[in-house]
Amino acid sequence: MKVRGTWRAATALALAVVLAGASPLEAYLKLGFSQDPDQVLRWGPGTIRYFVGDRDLPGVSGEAFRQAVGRAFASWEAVPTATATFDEVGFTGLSPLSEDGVTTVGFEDLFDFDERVLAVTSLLTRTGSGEIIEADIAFNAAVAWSTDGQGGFDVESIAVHEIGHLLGLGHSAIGETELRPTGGRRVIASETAMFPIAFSSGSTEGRLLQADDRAGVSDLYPTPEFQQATGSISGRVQKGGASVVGAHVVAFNLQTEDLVGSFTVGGDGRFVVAGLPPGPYLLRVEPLDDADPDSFFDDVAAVDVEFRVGFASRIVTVRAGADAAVDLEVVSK
Amino acid sequence: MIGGGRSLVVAAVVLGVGLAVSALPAAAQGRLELGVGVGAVSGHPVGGADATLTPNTGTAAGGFTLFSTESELEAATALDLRLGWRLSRIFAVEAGLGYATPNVATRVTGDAEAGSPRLDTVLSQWIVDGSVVAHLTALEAVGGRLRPFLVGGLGYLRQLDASSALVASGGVVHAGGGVKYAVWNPTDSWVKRVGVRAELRFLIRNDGFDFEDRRRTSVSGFASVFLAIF
Ligand SMILES: [Zn+2]
Repeated sequence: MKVRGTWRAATALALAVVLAGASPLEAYLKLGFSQDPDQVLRWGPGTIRYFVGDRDLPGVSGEAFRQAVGRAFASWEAVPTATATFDEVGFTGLSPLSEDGVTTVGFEDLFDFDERVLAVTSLLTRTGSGEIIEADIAFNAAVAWSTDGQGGFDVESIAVHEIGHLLGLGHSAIGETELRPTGGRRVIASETAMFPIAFSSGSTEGRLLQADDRAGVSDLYPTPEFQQATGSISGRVQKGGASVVGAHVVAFNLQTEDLVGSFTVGGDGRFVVAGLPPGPYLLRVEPLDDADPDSFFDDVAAVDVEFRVGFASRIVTVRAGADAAVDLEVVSK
Repeated sequence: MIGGGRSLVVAAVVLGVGLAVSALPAAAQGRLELGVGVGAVSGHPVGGADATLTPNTGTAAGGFTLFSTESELEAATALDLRLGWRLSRIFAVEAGLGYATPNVATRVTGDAEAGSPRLDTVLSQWIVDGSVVAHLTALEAVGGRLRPFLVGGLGYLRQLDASSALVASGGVVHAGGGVKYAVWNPTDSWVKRVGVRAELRFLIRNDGFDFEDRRRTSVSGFASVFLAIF
């Protein structure tokens, strides 16, 4: 993949194909980074400047692509509790896969990638700090694309997902899938732009950011109001006294009906669901069985999917600026 | 014990009003009435919620429901403290402090992967209220010992979670009635009456622990002992 000269030692972002069994062209590429868990990947202060590739594809002109990508950036910028801002510099003939020192979004021939990959995002980060200094998004030129929802994969929807990665967000697991008879998985429904498998060709539902996405970007780029106005839920997931790693924990707001997810990470099975508006929450924990665990974690061997879906035994009240501690106990399948 | 502190404030206000307007001697009834009782408060629903996901193209147009919940604040036993000031032979004002620990039972349904689990969330519930009591003197019986009354007023509701942190507050309007029966009626003591009291109230609750922020109704019943002095 992209080996980035002097940066690579501590910051190389391994781009690996996800969803080995996925049906063709329904999978994203994951951003699987092995990093210090305490080191957060994010941009420094200031506006993120990007170029747009000027390549035309059948059915999607360079200008239509530029506008769709612009709308996707605007969706993230419109999150009122996050400070990330973007500035489109203009068209470029440079490939989004080239090492040019500028952030580029464009079509590319992804010959080196699995044919199911719709788009890839690569990040260049500063060694030690985790600061993102460049990001490129390459859309697979071999895919049938559309910008008006009339057949083909929706450029704006896929751009929303990839820009989430550009900002430093990983995948979210708030979604349900089914196995296809022909192999692979199909999304039944999801409630996050960061689900690792895309909606079907022709769908434009992925354009909308959901509560989980807003919480994620606001957690990375918080306004002062966001930090004061939200709280978190944290705790451990255990099974028979042992820690459960890689469990998907979702906080459901009983008043707003919003869903925000997180995972247990590290050896002690700890999770934190952050960026939650105050209110009563129900906590649901499920195994990562709706997409391949390597869509979310590098160390998939540690991920435990052998337990039943469970709930915290009581309603959890989140208060502004405070953390609510809750432990969950699950049972084997 | 925030509720306790507030009850004293309310009592002080009520007493102030009572002293100001109480020109009539309240006779041998005893001006100040203290009561303590136990009873029960009925439950009421606190709302449901649906965890829905955006459906993919070609799937259910109405949305995909991951699971649904229905919750109810269950009936609970309650403690009740009352402090009354008699303004006249008929009218009195009262301040009250009620305490209960109702359970919120939440049933999860429609979760294809989780069955139908039940969650239990116990709340500490305080109600501080002020009431006007009208004694129905025309209906007195047993030589004046049995005295029916009507009561109505407003209350402030606070609900705390297991860590004693506030989870919700709200208002309560109540109306009801009951009877007082004087067991002991001394004539030559600063103690004027000692008796028992039974009371039924209808409650209309605004806000409080509720997922739909709807107005809820419930019923409470109390049996208490009272002491009227001065
Ligand atoms: Zn992705």
